[in-house]
Amino acid sequence: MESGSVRERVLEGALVSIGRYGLARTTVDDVAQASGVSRATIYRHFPGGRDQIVKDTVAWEQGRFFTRLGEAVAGAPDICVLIEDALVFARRALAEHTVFQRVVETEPERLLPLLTVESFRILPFIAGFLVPYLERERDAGRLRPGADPARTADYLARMILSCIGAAGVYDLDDPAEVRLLVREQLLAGVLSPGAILTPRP
Amino acid sequence: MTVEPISSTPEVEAKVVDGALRAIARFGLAKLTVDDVAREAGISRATLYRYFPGRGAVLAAVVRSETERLQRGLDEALDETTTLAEALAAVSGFGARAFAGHEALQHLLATEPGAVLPHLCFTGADTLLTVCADRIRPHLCRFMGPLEARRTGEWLARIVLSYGLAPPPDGAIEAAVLGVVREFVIPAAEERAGAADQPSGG
Repeated sequence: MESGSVRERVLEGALVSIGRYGLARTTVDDVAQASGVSRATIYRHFPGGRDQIVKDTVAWEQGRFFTRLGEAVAGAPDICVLIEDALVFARRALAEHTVFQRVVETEPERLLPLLTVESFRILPFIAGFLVPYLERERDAGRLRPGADPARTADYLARMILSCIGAAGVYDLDDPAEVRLLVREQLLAGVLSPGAILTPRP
Repeated sequence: MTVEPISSTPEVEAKVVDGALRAIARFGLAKLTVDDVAREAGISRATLYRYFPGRGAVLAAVVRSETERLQRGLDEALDETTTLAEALAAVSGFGARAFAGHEALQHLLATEPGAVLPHLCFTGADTLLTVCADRIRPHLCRFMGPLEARRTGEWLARIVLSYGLAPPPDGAIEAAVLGVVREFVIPAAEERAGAADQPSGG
């Protein structure tokens, strides 16, 4: 038996059920039906039952979201473009994520605590992704003197996650504003003054 | 016979708001009753009801009063500052202390996160960041143009919110916030302000 794939089928089914019924009303029976996996097998993989399935599904989907984000931007030539592409991709993907949009609208009090707990895993994931890019910038002499790639990556990860969730005073559907945010706010304090190459819009 | 309508006096309102904040810090929001608030405020239930028709009115007064208190705190924190670096550190330090040291907020984050996170994440964060940006902006206009002052204020609020919601491993939110503001915000802001002072150079 490939337990990895059974687990994924259950999570996949749970995501569909959550999209249909919401976090509070999704039952193990719904998940069994949507995934085609028997109740007994589901309980073998998720001994905590419904609550564990819901929690694990949110974590799994959040992990998939950021893995896809990483794949989408991995080819960026420098860290400015990397983060600009990441913000554009992530904000669009989030806007198009119908399950997320539905649940954040109807059950924020249930969803947000799960996402916030998960952010303690997501932040190191984003930071780990950024470190090699920052090391490359440092080796090219483009980081501010004294900036440590790991510490810088933690700060950038936080601000990227913040901007994915909330555009604040920026219009992040506008590429010019994304560029402004990334080059004049986010990276202005990270890269050396001369290292932000693209001319200002 | 007509009864004089009683308007809430500042003293009673202040007592009730303080009592409500203490009660929230002890019991949370879901189980909070008007009786709890009256007890913490040291006034009778009847007196409280004379000024506040119910729980919703008490909570509305708490929000109003906290908003004013934060505005005053921000003004005071900036009062003594003369340089851009001091002002940016003062805003972020004040924000971090207000978040980390708010006992009612911290109790709710720990025990009833679903009650507060909608105001601090996604569309709630959009609103909060915009409000903070607009409140901080006038204080930074001494050093930069209004648009940039607004964006910089927003950025400081973002930093506070990030470290407030996901504290660093040692739990020292204010130190973490001031650390990144000093390292990643102030130098670039000073360079921009300097460049703006000399528009012909650069």
